[in-house]
Amino acid sequence: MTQERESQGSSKGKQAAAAAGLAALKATGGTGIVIAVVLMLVLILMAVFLGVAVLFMDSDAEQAQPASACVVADGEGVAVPTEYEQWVQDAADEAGLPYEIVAALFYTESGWDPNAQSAYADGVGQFTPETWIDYGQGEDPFDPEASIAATGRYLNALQDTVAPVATTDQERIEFTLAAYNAGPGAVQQYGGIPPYPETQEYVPAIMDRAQVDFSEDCTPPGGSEIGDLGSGEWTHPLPGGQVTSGFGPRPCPAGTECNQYTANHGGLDFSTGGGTTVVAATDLEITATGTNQYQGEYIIGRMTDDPNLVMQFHHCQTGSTSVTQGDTVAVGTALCTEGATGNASGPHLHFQINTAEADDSQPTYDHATDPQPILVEKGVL
Amino acid sequence: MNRNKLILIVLAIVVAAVVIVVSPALLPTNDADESDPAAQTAPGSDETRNEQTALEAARIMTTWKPAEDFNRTAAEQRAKHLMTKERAEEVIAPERPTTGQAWNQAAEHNATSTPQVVLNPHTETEEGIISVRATWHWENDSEETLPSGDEQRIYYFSFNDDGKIHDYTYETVPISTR
Repeated sequence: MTQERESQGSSKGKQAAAAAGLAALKATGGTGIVIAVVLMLVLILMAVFLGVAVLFMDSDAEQAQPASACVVADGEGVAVPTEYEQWVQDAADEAGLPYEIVAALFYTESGWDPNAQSAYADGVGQFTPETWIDYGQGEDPFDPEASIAATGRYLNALQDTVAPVATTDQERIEFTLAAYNAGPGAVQQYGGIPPYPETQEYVPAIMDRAQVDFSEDCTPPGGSEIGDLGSGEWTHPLPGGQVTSGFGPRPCPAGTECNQYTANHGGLDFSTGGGTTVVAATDLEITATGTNQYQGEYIIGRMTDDPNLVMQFHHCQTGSTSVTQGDTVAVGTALCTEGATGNASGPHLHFQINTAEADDSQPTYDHATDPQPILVEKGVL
Repeated sequence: MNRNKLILIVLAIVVAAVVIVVSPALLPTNDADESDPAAQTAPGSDETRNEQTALEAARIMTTWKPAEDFNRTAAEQRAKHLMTKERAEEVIAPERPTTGQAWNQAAEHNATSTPQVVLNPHTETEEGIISVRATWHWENDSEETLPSGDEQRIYYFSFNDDGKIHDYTYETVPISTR
């Protein structure tokens, strides 16, 4: 009996609601219906717009994926023009420098344009009039064959001036480039790359371009102190991260002693703005984790394969470390979250590579090496 | 107009307004905009004196006129007034002129670089060192805008107690992730 009453009550309620709805529609007349229909159309259009926008955004995101780096240049304008190849090889032989260095130099100076003319330099080799007098042998600086050959002679002469201060093959190359940019006297005066910011920037720019755009196997020109990096897979330690600070010299703070710790940056900084997962750049054994006032929350690992490089990951968010000492992790394994602990001035990953002889039990700048050419060689950058 | 009609019209306007306001927020944003560290560091009104000097120095050092400047160091020499006397004396230009496609093209078009500078917090710095990130584009009096390339400069400045630049370095890195 109770259920019947409930059922009857429910039914009467529905009838009453329907009657009220009909009454409302009648009260508003056609206007209400029109407004409701218009509203629905607006909502449908917005939904369609959002859906289309999402589709386009996704495709844009796909298109924005960076192309893989370090492919021997075959793109238009970057590769050595076919007709210049032998001339560049001859110039490299004359200069005693790797082919890729000489090619990178020409591309940087003129983009292979034989008619390139700046306010102060001419031709594919971008010779100043004074230097052309010494090395041009009376030829036309806009003749690419003559310009390339003259460059070989000039680089050969510069090498003679820097040879006494170079102790490795890489230094020989770098000091020759420094002499090319700053002048040989400056290299002799400072016993190496002079402290002119423009020259300090020029040398790694040529070395980097030579490795990325003109080398056959993506190895750094002049070789590397590390040698063979092995065949293991590598990945970006902070996926999507932009470089926000490179490896190399920093200004000396006023009133402090300048040393390798205060006037050098021993790693590469990457940032996504914060919060991104930091991952193992290659297969690693975790050798230390911890926290201090400088590195913040940090993780240190050593490659499980040769050449057993040590890698450091600094400034993780507090409490975000997801590995412990002794763990063996595969490439791409989550290590922590990008943060701003320690002496970080903002969220980022300080990624550091130390050579095999480095202490892997604590953060150290000792035996730190520039990660960039290594990451380039492994196709990460 | 009766009350019911008025209520419905008001309701319709409110709902439409909510949809219009909310829908842009529902659109996926460009990841690059959200993740671009520089987009979050635009200078504000509460910069310190040294930060303002760092930004000004970076702006001057990134303003080049290739048709006149022998090389990029010419711009650094124009910022000497912001440095200590000792540091200013060390601003020495290389012997070679700056060249390259972008520079030569700017010279040909009589263009000047117009920098955009922001504080760069996404690094670690020793106490008192300020980092600034600079990008630029080229334009001339004819309001032509030339290709600017995929480069940015990251500056580092240290200061003495008088607010003068004690030392500086910079590096040029690609803007995009390679």
